[in-house]
Amino acid sequence: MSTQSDNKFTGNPREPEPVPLAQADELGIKQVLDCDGNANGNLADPNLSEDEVRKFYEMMVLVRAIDDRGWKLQRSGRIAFWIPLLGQEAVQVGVTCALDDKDWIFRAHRELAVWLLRGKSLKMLFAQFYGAEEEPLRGRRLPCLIGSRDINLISSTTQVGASLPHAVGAAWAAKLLGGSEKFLIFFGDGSASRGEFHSAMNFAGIHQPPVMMVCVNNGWAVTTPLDRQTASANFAAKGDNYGVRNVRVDGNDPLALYAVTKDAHDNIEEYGPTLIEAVTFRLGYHTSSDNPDLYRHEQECELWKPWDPVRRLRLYMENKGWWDQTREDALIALHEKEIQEAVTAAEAMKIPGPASQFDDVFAETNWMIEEQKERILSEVKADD
Amino acid sequence: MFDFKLPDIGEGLAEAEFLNWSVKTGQMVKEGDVVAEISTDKVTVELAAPRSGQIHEICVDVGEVVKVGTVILRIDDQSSDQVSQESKPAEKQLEKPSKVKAVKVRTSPVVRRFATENKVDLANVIGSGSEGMILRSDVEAFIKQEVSQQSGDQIIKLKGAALSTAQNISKAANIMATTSISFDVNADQIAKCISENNLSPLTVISMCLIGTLKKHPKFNATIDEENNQLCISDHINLGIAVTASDQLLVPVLENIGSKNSEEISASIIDITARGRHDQLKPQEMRGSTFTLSSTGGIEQGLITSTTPIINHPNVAILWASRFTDRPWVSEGGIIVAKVMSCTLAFDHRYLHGADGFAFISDFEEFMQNPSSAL
Ligand SMILES: Cc1ncc(C[n+]2csc(CCOP(=O)(O)OP(=O)(O)O)c2C)c(N)n1
Repeated sequence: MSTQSDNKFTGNPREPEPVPLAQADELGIKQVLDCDGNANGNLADPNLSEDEVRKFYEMMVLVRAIDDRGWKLQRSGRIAFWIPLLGQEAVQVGVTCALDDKDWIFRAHRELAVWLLRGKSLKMLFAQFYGAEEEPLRGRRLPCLIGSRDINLISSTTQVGASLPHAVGAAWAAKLLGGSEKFLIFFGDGSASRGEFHSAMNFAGIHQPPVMMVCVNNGWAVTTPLDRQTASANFAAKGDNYGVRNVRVDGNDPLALYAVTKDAHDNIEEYGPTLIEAVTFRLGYHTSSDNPDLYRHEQECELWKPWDPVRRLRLYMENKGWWDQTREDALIALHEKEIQEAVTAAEAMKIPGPASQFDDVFAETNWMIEEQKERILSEVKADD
Repeated sequence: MFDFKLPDIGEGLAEAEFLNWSVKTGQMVKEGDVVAEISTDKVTVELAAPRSGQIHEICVDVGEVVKVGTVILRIDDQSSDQVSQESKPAEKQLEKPSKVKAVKVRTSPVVRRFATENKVDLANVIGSGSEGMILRSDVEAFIKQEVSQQSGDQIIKLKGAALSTAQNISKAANIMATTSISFDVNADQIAKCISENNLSPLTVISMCLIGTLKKHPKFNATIDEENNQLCISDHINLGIAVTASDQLLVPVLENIGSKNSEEISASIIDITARGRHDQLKPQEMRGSTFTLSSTGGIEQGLITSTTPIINHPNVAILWASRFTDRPWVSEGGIIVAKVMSCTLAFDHRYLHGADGFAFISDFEEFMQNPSSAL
C-alpha cells in the first residue's frame, strides 16, 4: 500500500531574477567581456598575452573536467563526497593568477584551481579526494577541502566564514613582522551572514592589513537564495560602513576578475584591504548530498548558461585567432588521459589507519592521547 | 569480475529503492556511465559505473529496496579477482600490539553506561549504526529479545514491502478518523447475472461499485493532509486487495469507470493472478482512488462484518464477503437467499453517516438490479 512521494519541488519558488551580468553598468559590476566574449565592457581589457590567456582557459577547462570526474567517482561510491564547482571556474583562476606565489590564500570550498596553479600535481589532488595517507592533510578533510602549507594554501574551516578573521589576522601579523606577502580569502554569500564577517571587516577597516576578501556570490547558500541572505543592495556595499574599499565584478569574466584583483593587490599599500564581490552562479548541486530540484527552478540555471565563463573566454580567444576546435579536442583528450592517470594512482594509495587521527593533535603527545590511541588499536586488533 | 555494491552516496544512507536500470545484461559500459536511478529518503540519484566492462548480471529488480553494501551489479572488467571497493588502511598491519584488553565493541560512552546499568554485555549486541556502531536502540531491542526468548517466542523481523505496508497501515490508522457501517445484501440477482453473462463475482461487484461511485464522487477521492485538501478524482482507479504469499498487495485498475464488463473482467483476472505470483510492478500499486477488499476466496465459516483499514490516501474502502445461503425475509415469508455481507469504512473527517447510508442504499439498488450497472 505504499504511496511514493516524488522528489520534485513542492514549495513556491520565486521567479528567477534576470542575470545581473546582463546589466553590469547599471548594477555597478566591473566587466571586460560581454556574453559573447567581446572585450567591450566597462573595464579595459587587461591585454594579457596569448600564453597567459591560454593558461587561464586551459585551467578552467581542466577544473571543469575534474568536477565532472569527481562527481562520477562519488556517484559510483569510489569517493565519499563531492563539492561541485561548475559555473565558478573563472573566479578561482582569474583571482589566483593575479597574486604572487608567496601570497597566502584561504580557501572556501569550491576553488580547486588554486592547487594546480600553485604547481601541485593532479595526482595529489585526487589523492586528497580519496583521503590518501600521503596527501598533505593526510585524509582528514572532506574531499575537495584541499590545503597545503608548502604553497601557502589554507584549507577552509568546516564552519563557513570562520576563517575570515584568521585571514585578516594573519595579514595583520605579516604586516607587523614587516613581510611583503599579501593575503586573500575566498568566502561565499552565505558566509557573509556570519558574525565572523563583521569581526573581520571591522578589523580590516581599522588596522588596514594587506588582505583581499573575495565574496563569491553564487546566488545560493545551499537552499537560501540571495533575498533571504541579505537586505543590503549587494555584498560589496557592505564594505562602505566598515571603511573597506570594495568593488563588484563579473564573477564569470576571468579577465575582469584578474584586472580587479591585480589592481587591489598591486595597490594594497595605497588602497588598504579590498572587499571584492564576484557575481557568479552555482550551476551544480551544492554538494553530492544536495538536491536542488527541491528548492530551485531549473529555469534559473538556463538563464545563466549563456554567461558560462568557459564559453565566453573561448569566444574571446577564437576572436583573436588563438583557439580552434583542433586545439580544443587535443586539450580535452589530454585532460582525460591525465585525469585517468591521477585516478588510477590515487585509487591505489593507502588510506590512513585509525591511529593516525592522534598524530598532529599537539606538538608533543600526552598520556591522554596515547591512552585513546592504544584503545583504538586494541579494538582494531580485536576486529581482525 | 567487479561486484558493484550499493554505495553510500548520501551522508549516512542506509538503503535505497531502485527506480530504473539504464543498462541491460551483456551491454558494454564505460566507467562513469549512468547505470541506474535510485531513490533514497531524500533524493533521486543517478548511479555511475565504477568500472568499464560488460554487464554480467543485474542483481536488483526495479522497485526493490536494498541496503548499502548489497551487490547490485556485476561488471565483467576482465579482472581475475573480485576487486575490493574499499581501500585498505595503511597502518593496520604495522602497529604494535597493545597492552589494553581487547574489546571488540563500537559504541558511545552513553550507550556503554546504559548497557552496564542493564547488565548487558555489549559483545553480544549487534550494532545497526554505521560500521556496526551499537546504538541505544540496539541495546533496548537486545533486552526485549532476551526477555521474550526466555518465554520461547518467535521473533519475525518485518522488512521490504511487508514493512512498508505495515507502516502505511499504521499511518492510516493513526491519522484517519475511521468509522464503518456493516450491512447484508441479497445477492440472488447477482448470482443470476454471473451465470448468465459468464462473469466472475468480483467483476460484477466491481461494476455495481463503479455505478455507485459515479453517483457518490466524494467517496472516490484522495486526501492531502499537508495542504488540508480533498481531491475528488474525475476517474475511478480501483484498488483491489489481494493476498499473496503472506503479503497484502493492492494492485490498481486504472480508469476503470470507462471500461466495459469484458475489459474489467480481463484486467481483474490478469492483475489478481500476477499479484498472487508476486509479479506486480510498484507502479501498478499506486494511485488508487477507492479500494475493494473481497475475501471470498479465503473465507471459512460465516463472516458477517470486518473492520477494514482505509488504504491511505483514499478516504473509503468496501469489504465484501463471499455469498452464503442464509434465511432472508421476502414478501412476508422466509426464503433461502444468497447473501453477501459488507462493511463500508470511511474517513469521518470528510464523510459522514448520511453520506455512508446514501452510498449503501445505491449500492444495494445496483446489487438488486445488476443489469443497470453492466
Ligand atoms: C557555520 C556553518 N553553518 C552551516 C554550515 C553548513 N553549510 C555548509 S556550506 C553552506 C553554504 C555556504 O554558503 P556560501 O558561503 O554562499 O557558499 P557556497 O556553498 O554557496 O559556495 C552551509 C550552510 C556550515 N558549514 N557552517
